[in-house]
Amino acid sequence: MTFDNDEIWSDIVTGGTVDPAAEDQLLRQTVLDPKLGARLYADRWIDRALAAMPRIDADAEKFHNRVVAALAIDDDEQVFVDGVSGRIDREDNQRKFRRSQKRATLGALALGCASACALVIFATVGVPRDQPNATRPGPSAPVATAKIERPASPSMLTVKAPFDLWRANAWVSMPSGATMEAVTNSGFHLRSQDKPLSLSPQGGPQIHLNARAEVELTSKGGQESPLAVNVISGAVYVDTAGSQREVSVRLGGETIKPLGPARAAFVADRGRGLSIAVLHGAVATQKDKPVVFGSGIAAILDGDNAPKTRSLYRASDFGWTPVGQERRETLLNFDFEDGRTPPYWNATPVTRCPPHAGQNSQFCVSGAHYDVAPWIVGLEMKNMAQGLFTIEAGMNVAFDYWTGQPGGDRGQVVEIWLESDPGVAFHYDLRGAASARWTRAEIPFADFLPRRADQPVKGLRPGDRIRFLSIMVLWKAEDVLFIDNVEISRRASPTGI
Amino acid sequence: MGLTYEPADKDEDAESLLVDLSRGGDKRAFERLVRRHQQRIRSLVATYVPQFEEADDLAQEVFLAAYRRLVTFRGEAPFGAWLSGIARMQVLRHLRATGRRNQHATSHTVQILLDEIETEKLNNAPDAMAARERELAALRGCVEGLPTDRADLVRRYYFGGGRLADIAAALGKNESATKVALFRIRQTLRVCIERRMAMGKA
Repeated sequence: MTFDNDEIWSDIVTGGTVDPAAEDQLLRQTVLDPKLGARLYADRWIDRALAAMPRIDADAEKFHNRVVAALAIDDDEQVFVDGVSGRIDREDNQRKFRRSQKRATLGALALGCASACALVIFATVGVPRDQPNATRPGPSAPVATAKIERPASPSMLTVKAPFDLWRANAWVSMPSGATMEAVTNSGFHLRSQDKPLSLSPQGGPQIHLNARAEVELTSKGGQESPLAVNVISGAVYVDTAGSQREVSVRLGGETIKPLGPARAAFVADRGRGLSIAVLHGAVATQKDKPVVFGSGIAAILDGDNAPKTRSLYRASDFGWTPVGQERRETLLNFDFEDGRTPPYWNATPVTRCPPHAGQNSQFCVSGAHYDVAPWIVGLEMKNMAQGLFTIEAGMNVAFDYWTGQPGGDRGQVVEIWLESDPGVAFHYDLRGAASARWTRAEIPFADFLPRRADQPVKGLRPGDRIRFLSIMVLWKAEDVLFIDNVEISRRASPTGI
Repeated sequence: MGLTYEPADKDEDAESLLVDLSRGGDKRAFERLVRRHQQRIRSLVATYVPQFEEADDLAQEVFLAAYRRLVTFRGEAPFGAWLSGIARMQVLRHLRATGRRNQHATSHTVQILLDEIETEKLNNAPDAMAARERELAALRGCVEGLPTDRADLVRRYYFGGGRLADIAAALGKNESATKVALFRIRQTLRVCIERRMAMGKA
């Protein structure tokens, strides 16, 4: 007996009863005839799509709410899972650290010896050992007669300027003709040679090394964790203005903490001992009885004895122009005074703005609510194809901002977003931003943080092309944002002593 | 500076803003993304899963998986395409699981065979979801172009949710003939979809 395939299939699709012999016939014919299979396959998905269509259209809101509820539950679970995995990671790292500590001394010595030995062998026989046609010395070759001199610090590498080194979330800027030595296989351990260096750890202070200064930076966590600056020798300046990280400075046996935004020089000199010069703000020693040194004070640390202090008369003694006072060169500047939106400013109307104290400025740009995220007011400058500007060492973005009263669940945050070529995103949060008054913000591009945890590039590097820059106020449902005097600038030339 | 103004793609901007905000932990932004893509993802998933409730659960899983993996989204492809990729993996996983289950159950053997074809297609064609999406758009266009009597039957059976016997009675036909009429309508739609796809007109 034969059955009509269409009828059998219709019965199957509509959930009717099907004769087993008919089903068997349809199965065999579907296997034998790919066209029949394709027809049934298409018929099935069309049937399902038609059945789903009205329900999907009707209960979009219900579905959305279900996902939102599931996300809330998921988040709770995620917090728990993250907590557990974080703890496992920490314990694992501690185990690894303890193991590595045991091996550290022997390992370092072995490495130093290996590299020194390899150099000696190469110098003696003239060709590397693994070269196929090398004339290898016999067992009695006079290798042992060469004197092995271990370098002062076997893992320090000499680096020549012009050079901008990006490592461990920090920028190192070197003036032309300068050289420095850097430890190649650990965190930051740098020694300037005949010219000064500047370091910009992400989210942290600006650090400046005078010539022949040596410093080591350590941080137990990521770019938002506390940073310890160990001054080994020479004069080192630390400027914590704008730093989002807790900073401490080790000088000899002392630990000194800048109290808020401070600018101070720390000197470890073999002849003259340890001294601190506070140029701005205040710092405090961390002994049993902390001693605070305020602005304009120079202190000589003297072991367990009380520090000797004197007034500091001339900051120029120290040869470094602090941030904000250095000579800068403007690359891009927008004051909006012609009343027109400049090219590349996207959806940002130029309007009359709240008055600037002491300025004759009338126009600025006004932020707009994002359609898709109405709790954000922002404005943006973009040129995805050609880019807006290229990052150089020591480059800053500065602007005046005016926002309404603080509000929202995270308070006032002005956030700047950047996207570089090729599509890597960075941001900077101006937390605790001022409101209802014009305030100037100046941010080094080196301080921008990656927007994504998995982002392969952890910071902006010289040569990166910026294609998109957005300034926005987050977490405020109804507010205004005015931006004026936007300036992209760079250091006119590296300063030195 | 010699700069020239370049208008931005607003929709793409909006999407990229929402994705960036979501990555930064802004759940409201992700909810917006759910709202934007839910119809598309649910429709897609529903073509692979017979039970609507089951399909909707799977679509929800797609969004939850996307939320968890948001940090891995690099923006090399549009967010929607990335989401479809997750949907494809979820559907494949579901088909494999139900395939194993169906082999021990009393499902129709032809359906099991079609499930295998489906799994094979999804496995070997990373762009299967994109193709299905275009087919779905074509289907909507084809349904709108149906003659009135056929459109009425589709509306009563699929959109009205009526029982086949009741619909047949209301139309003065027998159940078997109505069943075959629905089959013929789907055939017409299939041919229409194929034509539209060939013409690049979804």
